[in-house]
Amino acid sequence: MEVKKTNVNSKNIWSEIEFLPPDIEADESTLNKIKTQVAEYLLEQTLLNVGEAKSPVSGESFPGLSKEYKKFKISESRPGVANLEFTGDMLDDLSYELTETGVRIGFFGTKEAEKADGHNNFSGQSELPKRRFLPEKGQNYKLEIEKQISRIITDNLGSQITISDSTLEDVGTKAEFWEVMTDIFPSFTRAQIVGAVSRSFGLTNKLAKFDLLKYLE
Amino acid sequence: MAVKTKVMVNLKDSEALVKELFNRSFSRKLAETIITEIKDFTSKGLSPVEGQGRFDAYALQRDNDKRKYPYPHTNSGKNIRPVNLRLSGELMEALSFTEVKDGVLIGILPQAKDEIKKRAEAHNEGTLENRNVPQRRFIPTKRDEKFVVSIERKIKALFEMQVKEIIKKMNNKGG
Repeated sequence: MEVKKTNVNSKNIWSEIEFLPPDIEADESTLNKIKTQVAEYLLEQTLLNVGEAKSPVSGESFPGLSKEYKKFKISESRPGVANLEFTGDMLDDLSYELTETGVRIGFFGTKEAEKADGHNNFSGQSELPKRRFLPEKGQNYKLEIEKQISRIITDNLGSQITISDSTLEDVGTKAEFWEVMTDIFPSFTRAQIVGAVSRSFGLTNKLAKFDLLKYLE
Repeated sequence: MAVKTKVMVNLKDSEALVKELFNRSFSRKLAETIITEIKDFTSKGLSPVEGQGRFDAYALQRDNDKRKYPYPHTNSGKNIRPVNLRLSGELMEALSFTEVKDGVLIGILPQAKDEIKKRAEAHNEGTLENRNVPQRRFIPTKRDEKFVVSIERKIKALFEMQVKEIIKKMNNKGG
């Protein structure tokens, strides 16, 4: 996963994130499903982290509010923490676009982009304390976020695979099982196969039907 | 009216071992996880329901009228932002679950107080015409409506843990 590029001007600020493997084999519908799920996930995780005055970007943290601004926020019936929400307009406009190999996450055609750059400082011109919630080029999301994105990709690729009964009915040993599974999931590591099957009701049921679940470790 | 969602699994063609996946302890863990996530999302002004996004502003902000909700509760600590569906905390505390034949029912269940059920329905469906309450869905109740991706991922992670547990038991029994 890589932040390929970023963009900033008065109406736009976004990070372009590439996460589809170059050799991915999937139909258009599966690719769109993967990209949309990842985009939605990144949006949710960004808002959840920011809601706790934290950054979703690895290595970044939000400095606390100044004493004066904290006092002001509380006097206006807002929490005295750096959750980047006063009117809520900026966070309401956080959005995404799908690209060929991933997504762009940020602000598109909105005046809230200026506010967002105030926090993220992609322009280098902000005088506010840096509270980055969009990753710059060379940065990563937190490890757990990136781990889930890998799983979203794996699970969706796994779901496009149909395993026929005839493929499994003659499997009798662990070695045979793994030969068949690596055939069915050619681009997956063994760990990815274990994960994708264990997270899929359909695949789990299928293996259990032929008493093959025991080999999945 | 109760506001509830059914988290269910299709157990058709399942073998007995797979049925073991959805035992009482697992159902409980699943329900408790989902309730925790609903509370986490709503506390930050986010809908836990797919496609809904952030909750609409309260009337004070929406109508730019300082006499509207959450006034006068702002005097006793209620914040204008985030829009977290929380005043006394009764609504979120009323979230509960019950096991059913092919899954769990989660939400504001029939045994909740009438006032809580009405409030839950007002938020989930919106009553802009009658009470100026915009729709702020916090439980997926419509056919094919789902939780957000982050919650779906947590559900999948729980299943993964449960399946791996079952496999471990199988292989320990087998020696």
